[in-house]
Formats: sequence, structure tokens, C-alpha cells
Amino acid sequence: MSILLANRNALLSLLLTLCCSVKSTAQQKALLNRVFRASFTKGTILSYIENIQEKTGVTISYSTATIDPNKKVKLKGNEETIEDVLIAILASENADILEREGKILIIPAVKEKKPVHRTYTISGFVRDKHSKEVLIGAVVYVPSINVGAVTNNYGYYSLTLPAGYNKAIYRYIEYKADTVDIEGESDRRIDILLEFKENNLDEVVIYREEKSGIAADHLHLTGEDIYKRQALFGENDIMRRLQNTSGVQTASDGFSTIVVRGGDPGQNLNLLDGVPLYYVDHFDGLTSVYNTESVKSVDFYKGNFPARYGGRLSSIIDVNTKDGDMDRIGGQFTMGLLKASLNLEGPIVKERSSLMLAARRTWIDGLFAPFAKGSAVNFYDVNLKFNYIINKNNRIYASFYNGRDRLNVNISNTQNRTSWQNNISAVKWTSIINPKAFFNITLTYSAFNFEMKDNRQTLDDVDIKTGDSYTGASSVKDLALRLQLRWTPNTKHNVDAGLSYSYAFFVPVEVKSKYASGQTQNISTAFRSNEVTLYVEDDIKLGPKWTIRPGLHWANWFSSKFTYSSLQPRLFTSFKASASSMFYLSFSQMAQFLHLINSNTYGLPQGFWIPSTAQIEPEESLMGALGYSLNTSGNLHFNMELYYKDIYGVTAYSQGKDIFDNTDSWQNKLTQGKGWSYGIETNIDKKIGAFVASAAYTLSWNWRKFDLLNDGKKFPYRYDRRHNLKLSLIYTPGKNTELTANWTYMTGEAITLPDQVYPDLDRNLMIQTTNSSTPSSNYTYYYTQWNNYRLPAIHRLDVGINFHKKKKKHMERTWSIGVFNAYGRRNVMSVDLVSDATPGEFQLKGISLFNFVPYLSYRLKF
Amino acid sequence: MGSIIKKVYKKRNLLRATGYFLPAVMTIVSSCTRNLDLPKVQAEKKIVLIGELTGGGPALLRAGQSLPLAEGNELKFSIIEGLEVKLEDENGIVQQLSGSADEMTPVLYTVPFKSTVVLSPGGRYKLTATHSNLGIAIAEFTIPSAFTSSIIDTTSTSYAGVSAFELGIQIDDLPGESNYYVIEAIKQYIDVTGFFSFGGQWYDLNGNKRLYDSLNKANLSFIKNFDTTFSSNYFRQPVYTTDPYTDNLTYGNSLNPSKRILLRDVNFNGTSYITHISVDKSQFLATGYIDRGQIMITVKSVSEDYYNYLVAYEQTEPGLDPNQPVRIKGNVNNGLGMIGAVYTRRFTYFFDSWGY
Repeated sequence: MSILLANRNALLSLLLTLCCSVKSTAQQKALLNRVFRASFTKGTILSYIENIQEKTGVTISYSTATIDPNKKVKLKGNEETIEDVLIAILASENADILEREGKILIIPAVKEKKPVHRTYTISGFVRDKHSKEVLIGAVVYVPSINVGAVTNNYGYYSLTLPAGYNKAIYRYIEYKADTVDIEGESDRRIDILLEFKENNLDEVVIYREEKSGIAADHLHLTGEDIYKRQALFGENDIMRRLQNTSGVQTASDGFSTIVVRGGDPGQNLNLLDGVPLYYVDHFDGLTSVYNTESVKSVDFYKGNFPARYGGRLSSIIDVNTKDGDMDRIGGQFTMGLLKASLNLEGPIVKERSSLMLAARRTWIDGLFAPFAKGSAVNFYDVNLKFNYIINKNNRIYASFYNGRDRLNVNISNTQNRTSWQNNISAVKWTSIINPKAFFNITLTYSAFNFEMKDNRQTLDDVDIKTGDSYTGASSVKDLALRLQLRWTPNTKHNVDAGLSYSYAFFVPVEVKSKYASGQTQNISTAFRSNEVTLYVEDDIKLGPKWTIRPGLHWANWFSSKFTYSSLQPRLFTSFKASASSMFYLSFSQMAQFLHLINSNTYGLPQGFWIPSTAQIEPEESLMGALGYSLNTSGNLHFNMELYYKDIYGVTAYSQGKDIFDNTDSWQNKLTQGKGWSYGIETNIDKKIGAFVASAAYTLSWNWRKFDLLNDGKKFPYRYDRRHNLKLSLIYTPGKNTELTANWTYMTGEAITLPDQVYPDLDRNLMIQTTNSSTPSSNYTYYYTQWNNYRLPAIHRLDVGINFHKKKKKHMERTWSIGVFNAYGRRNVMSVDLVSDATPGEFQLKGISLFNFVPYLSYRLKF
Repeated sequence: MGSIIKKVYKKRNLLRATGYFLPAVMTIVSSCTRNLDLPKVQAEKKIVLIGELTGGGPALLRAGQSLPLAEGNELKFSIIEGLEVKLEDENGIVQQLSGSADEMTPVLYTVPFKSTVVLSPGGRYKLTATHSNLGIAIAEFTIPSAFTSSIIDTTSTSYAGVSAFELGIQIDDLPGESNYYVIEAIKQYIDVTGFFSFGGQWYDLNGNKRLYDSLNKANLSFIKNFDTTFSSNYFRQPVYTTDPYTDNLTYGNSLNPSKRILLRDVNFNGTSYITHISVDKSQFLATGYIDRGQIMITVKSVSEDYYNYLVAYEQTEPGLDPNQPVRIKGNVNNGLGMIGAVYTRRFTYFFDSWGY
């Protein structure tokens, strides 16, 4: 009985304890379990706390050291109790909730609540609202947490955010910004359509750092940027537009060929939809091969090179063409003094596939055709691009380019035919593997061919002879496969990696001569080579102010006779000194396995490519740069950059008239040496009302040194222009008119003049020549130093007016009128020592082109 | 600004009327020349000495002054005056060369100087030119040793699309020394003036050719006199080679015409060597009376500094080439030009006839 009683008492005690604990627990959460529905679904933590207190009378205590009361949060709407609401609003705070003595306490979490570091990734494409054209370089930025991303060359972005509520802003130059409220914890796809701003002058043309912490290490241009500044003949040309940037100068005034930071034209990597171009000039630079009407965007690097680029030392010009309007058929027609151009684009299947076609051709030669039968001077080019969206994650592109320059001369029974031709094609497949990984594979083919033939004479003989003929040719062919991956694991890292293989076949010079006697001669040089490249780089956000982008680019160039390897480290880092200013520092090592050599008497285009061989080593460069950038809310952008660059393996002729006269010894005619350049570059842009003023100034020194030239002493590089100043003013008095004025000043280039002239040897031996194949002169020029003379400085003023008129909803026409070199400055391009009037008497003459050249052009967008 | 723009804008119809095809298009590429300043450097005129001094012959050279391309200088050649030129041999014997302007001086701006001393093969000499303003210029040279050479065969053929005269040339190289050979082809005009006597009267042959021919045809005996005048002017004939040892094929190819064939004895020192050249004979034959002459094939052994001068000289083109200058170094110290020391072997061919 006592046992039973004891057990009964024990059982009662147990029951009482349980009830008390239940009651105690229930009492502990009595406040938290109170029914409560918030009055709103979006607000700050503080607003919800106040709402709870107001409606329920429950006191909630907290410390601002524990939680951020001003943090914006969002409820799902299914919260039923006070506890539900508090858990929801405090999800990302390191806090615990307790109920004590009739109050609710918010206290620091006992255990480090590893705030779930719950994150989610938003990703997608940023496109033009109307054409659905992807926008390259668009920015997506979340100001509350100071993170952002930039769309890649396919318009794709990926950004990882902390779980909860975030507001993302999408921006792109000349487009209206869009804001998206995002809330959640799971990855999501957000494709954005941005609307173009008509008559936009709010955005200064230079891509600049948005307040997103993303560093601006290059220049980003859109097609519209290029149209804002006309140049010679009213041509809107990418290469001429780049000449308005500090650090970039034209090789010859008025022409489109550029040299960057002491490099030569062959050290610029020109890409068209990812395919390298070997020649970028029509007619030696009157205009480039890039058809502005087909261009979507241009990314230009003169330093701070990302690891994904390689193969050239001085600059990267990465041009992407339009994909084609996915919504409606439209286009553009342009007619200028030099050429006419037509661009057509439209959907094949709306929102699924589209086509873009841009073609242009000179027209002025047609006027003279009836008067010069058999002779012709013209060029044309065609860009064609097709794209197809397989599904929301996969897309394919195919692009083609064909362009040709032609010069036919039919004088005195000669039949000289000369042509230059570029053929390029690329096929790409892009795939979103997951929200954080974007992959693309590209197959490209690039070919350049030059041919000169004559059916009535041989190359070295000026006499016309039936039965004599020759064909001279130079060509480069390049086939490549590239794989690229972009991985964005979190907000702090953006990893790019890639692998490529390319095969190239060079024939620098090939001459086949046939003589009436039946004798033939063939000169031919051919090279085959392979290149493998591998790269990886990571764009790391170390903190709210500091980013760093280390990278490595490895390239291996090999054939059956040699192999060269180059490991090229790259580093770019930036530090935000304030909300509007930034310092940055970069280091780049680059290598180049090809050399552009200027030819002489073969009449080839300005230069031809030769590969590195067992004897001719690759060129390499090391460059460091330090810069400061300022963007104020008053629409002022200022940038200053100091740089120093060393170049190794620079190639030049050492002797001989023509490099490939003897195919066995051509390499002995070249010599390699060293170059170095340094300088300071400044860009300023300011918008004041209807005016946009820009100034770009470069102060630089450029040197060369070869053991076999100039007695081994250093000499100024040909393009050593000490001062280079570009001033630009765009005035928009109304939405239909804009006036532009550009003033350019450049120190003259360095050329070699003889120190002395003295009577000729053969003439003083009483030996004359009457045979044109071995011409002679009465004088000998005695040279002691290279590049010892400065041409006069170049300066000119270009002015222009654009008159726009919107005719219909999708139709706008523009008349452009202006003058290149408005005050007719005779800028010297070459020199000659002339002895025409009186034998024995000389005059040093400078020859100039393009003195006061008016232009008129018409453009119709539809 | 706005009102100006409006006015311009209203003229758009006028612009349209004038059209795109105005002759204004012709001003699109408007080029011109302008005089440029000379470099701001200090440079003075220098004595210029030019000549080929041949072993077995007198010293014959031309002297002048250079034209410095420097600020403050008039770019006009002038004839040098008051220049003294002396030749000193290795024994210290000095001879003053005599110089006076000739008919070529106004054209070449140089004055010929000549010695009576015959230069000896292997001899070392020093030429000193002194001018009160230009200072003293000195050229030292050694006449190459005598060597032998012969033409072993000739043929007329076609080469590089031209009618060519091909020769096989043997050079007997001297052992124990480095020799530098130069082969040229030049045409020298020859004027042959004929006179004949008939019936007690002298006739100019050219003006009385029919009478002359009839007398010859009749086999009559009569007095004929011919004066042969060798012109002091020569005309270079382009030459070609396929010899891989020549410097011509180091810098060019076998179908490039050259002024001279340049050959070092590196590959055949001390032995007899045969090389072939082809001469463009398209101008061998005279087109008229005036340009009849002889073709001279010269094989020269030259001094090393002269050979290097000619290698560079071969690569020059007439006119200024600011981007591809060829540096030609002479051997005149404190002066400019070249005193080339040579020993010459000459072979003469006639393709023209005078019909006498």
C-alpha cells in the first residue's frame, strides 16, 4: 500500500511538474504566441516593432548594437503571430528573441547565428526594350549592400545577393535606368528590358565608374557615341573616334590607323565579334573596315589588360556587332562623299531569331568610270549576322564579314589589278550552365589576301611587253577554337577562365613572274604555326572600397621548328577613396608572336605580317600604370594616368630594299631591339547645360634602340609625339540639332633626314644610266642619325552640324555638314628634298593632304 | 547661336539643289606642298672627294663640297675654290695634284684633280685635301694587288624577260689575303670621224658616204683617215647574277637587276673561280650615230672600304627615304665621299658598227 501511495505521489508530482512546465513554457511564450498580423508587408524593422507594440501593447526591447532598426525588410504575408513576424524581420540579424517578465527581448544570439548567410543569385540578360538587342557592359547594382555586376559580351549578368529584400538598379549608357525590387531566398532569372533615351546628352560619352564599386579600366563605346564625332569626309569611324582618347594617336593625320602608347599599328588587337582582324584599313586608312552601322559596342583597352586578351602588346579594340532587331524590320541608310551604306535588320522569328545585314560601297568612283575605262578605285564590305535563341539558356550566333579594296589601272596598255580582301566568319554557342556559370564556345576563321597582278609587265620592269605578266600576293589565314567560362560563385568573386587553340598559315610574299621568253620565277615564303592559350582571372571584391583582379595568361606558339612559351601575369586593383573618386594600379605582361613589317617597293599594303621563327623571337611588353579617376555629381569626369612600358623584340629592317627578294635570307634583313615609352594622360569631360566639353591630353616619350641601327644608340620612335591634345565641344541647342567642334594638336612625328647631301659616286665617275631598272641620282644622302628631324606640329579644327528630324514613329533622318581642317592648316605628312627649278639647288618641302575638306552626308533610320 | 542655326537650317533646300556631285568633290583631296625649315643643328660644309684610283694609272678624282641640311645654310651647291690636293705615297713622296674646272663642273659641282704619278698595285697612299675654310680631309687607301681574270665564254640569251649577254668570268684569286671583286658592264660612246682623199681633195666621210662607198666598191686605192674619240661619259648596263656567293643574292634575288655584281673571295680564296653574269643588252646597239660605242666588261679588285661602300650604294634608290634610310660610309676623314682603290681588268666588245 505504501508503495502504491509512493507511486501515486510520484506520479502526481510528475504530472504537476509537467503541467507547470507546460504552463511555464506557455507562459514564457505567451506574448510571442499572440496572434498578430502586420499592417503592411514592407517596412523597416523599427516600423514592425512599433506596429506590434501599438497593436498588441506588448513591449519589445532591443539594442541598436544588436540589430539595425532601419533595415528594410519584407514579410511574406502569412505570419500569424508576433513570433512569426519577429522571426521574419530578424532573419538576417544575429539576434535571439526571448520573452521575459512580460516583455519581449531581442538579444544578441548566444550562438553565432551564422546568419544563414543565406544568399540567392539573380541572373539574366539585359536587352534593349524595342529591338531586344543584348546590351554589353550594362551595370546591375544594389546600393544598399554596395555590390554590382556588369553584363558580359552576350549581355548576361550574374549577381549573388543576401537573402531578403534587395533593390537592384539596372543602367546602361544612353538608356533609362530601371529599378527592380527583389525579395527571396532562391535563385531567380531576371531579364531586363531597358529603354533608350532619345536625344540623350545626360550621359557623357566615356564609360565611367558607376557608384557601384566596379572599376572602369577601359573605354566602352556604343554605336551612337561614334556618330557624335565626324571626321574626314564626314566618316563616323571607330578608329577615328578612339583617336580622341588620350594615349591614342593617329599614325598619319586624317587617317584611321592608330598607335597606342609607343606601340606600332601591328601591336593593336583588332577584334570583330571575337575574330582577330589582320588589316583594318580601307585604302590605307581613309576609313576602317568596321562599319559603324553594324556596331553595337566597342571595348577599348590601352592598358589594364584582362587575362582573357593576348597576342598583341599595345591595345585591344573589341568590336561587337548588332545581333539584329528581334521585334521589327528596320535599318539605316547613309550616304556621304566617299560611300553609301545600308543596314537592314529584323526578326526571322519574333523574339526567337533575327538577322542583321550591313553593306557599304564607295560610289564616287562611278562618276569617273566613263572617263577612265578599265580603271577603278573602290571598296565594299558586308557584315552579316544571324542569331537564334534555342531556349532561355542557350543561343547560337553566326557572323560573317567580307570586304575588298580594289585598284585597277589601265594606262598605256598596262593592266594592273590590285586588291585587298578580308574574310571573317565566326560561329558561337552560349549556354547558361546555372545562374552562376556562363559558358561560350566560338569557332572563328579569319583570312586576309592581297593580290597584285599585271598582264603586260613584270614587277621590276616598267616596259610593256606582251607575254610578260606577274602575280604578287600576300595572305594570312587563321582558324581558331575558343572556350570561355565565367563563374560568379558569390558577391566577392567573378572568375573568368578560357582555353583556345588556333592554327595559322602565313604567306607574307609570293611573286610569280612569267616572261615573254618563257622564263618564270617564283618567290614564295610560307609559314604554318599553332598557338594554344590558357587564362584565368578573378575579379575580387575585398571590401566596400577595394577590388583586385589578378590574372594569368599563358600562350604557347609552336611549329615543327620552334616553340615559344609565355606566361603573362596581369594585375588590376582599385581603391575607392570616396564615393566619387578612385585610385587604381595595374601591371600587365603581354606577348606577341606576329610582327607587322612595312614593305617597300612591292607596293603591298602598308605592312604585312610575318610570324616569329627560330630566328625572330616574339615581342613582349611589361607595362605598369597608376591612375586616378573622379566623377562628381556636377557631371564632371576627370581621369589621370601615368604609365611606363618596356617592349622587347621590336622588329625593324636593318638593310636591303625588299625583305623577301631572297627567300633564304629574309630573316637576316630584320633586326630586333628594344623600345620603351612613358607618359601621363589626362581626360576631362564636363557637361554644362547644352554643352559637353571634353579634353584629352597626353605628354609622352617613345624610344627605340637597336644594336644594328643608329650605331646602337637610342633614337626617338617615329610616333614620338611629345604633346597630343584633343579638345571637343558638343553643343545641343535643341533636340534636333547638334554642333560639334574638335580641335587637335600633335607634335610632329620624327623622321630621318640626311645630315649632308653630296655629289653622287657614279655621276662623278662619269657613269650615267638610261635604264629605268637601275635608276640613279645626281646626289648621295648621308645619314648619321635615325629620326633626327621633327615635322612641324599638326593642328586643325573640325566643325560639323547635325540636323535631325523625326519623320515618323520609327523614321529619323539626319543631315550632317561640316569641314575637316576648317582653317586649312597644311599639316605635313611627308617630306622631299626637291631640286626641280635649278640643278644643284634644293628646297626641303613638306607635303600635306586634306587641307579644308568639306563634307556632307545624309542618314536615314527606319 | 540659335538664330544662326536657323538660318543655316533654312538653307537646306539650297544645299539639296546644289547636290552632292558638285565639282567641290574635286577639293576633297586637296593637297599641297610647303617649304620647311631646316633642322636646327650645327653642321658645316665638308670637303667631298670622289674617285676610283686605279693601279697602273694616274690618280684621278673629283672634289667638291657638301650641302649641310642645317638651319642657316643655303641649300645650293657651289663649286669649291682654293682646294689643294696632295698625294703621298708610302715612301713619303708627295705630289701636288692639279685641278681645274672642266665642262662637267657646272653640272656636277665638282672639280677634277689629276696626278702624273702612276699608282702601283699594292701601294699605300694618302690623299690630303686642304681648304682654308673647310679644313683638311684625308683619305688613306691601298691599291689592291694585281690579279688576273679572263672571259671564258659568252653567249646571247634571254634572261629575266630581256635580251641578255651572258658571260662566264674566271677570277684567279690571290692567296693569303682578302679580296673584294666588283663586276660591271658599261657602254662607252665612241665617235669615229672619217676623212678620205680623192682627186686631190679631202672629203668628210659622213657627208660623202655615197662617194666613199662607190670608191670602195670600185676597189680604187685612196687615202682614208679615221679619228677615233672615246667619250668620257659611260652608260651603265644592268647586270644579273645567279651566283649565291655574291652579295647581290644576299640582299636581292637573281632577277633583280643590279648596277654592280659584288663578290667576296671568302669561298674561293687563293683559287680560280668562275662566275656567270648576264648583262641586259637591250641598249647595246646604238639607235643612231651618236650613241655608237663599245661595251666594256670590267672586273675590279677593290679595297674593303670601297666594297662596303658599294654594297650600301647598291641598296639605295634615288630620292629621300625618311623611313628606310641607307647609311653609306665613305673613307674620307673629316670629309665625305669615297676614294676607291681598285685594280681593273677590262674586256671590250663591239656590237655597233660604223659602216666604214
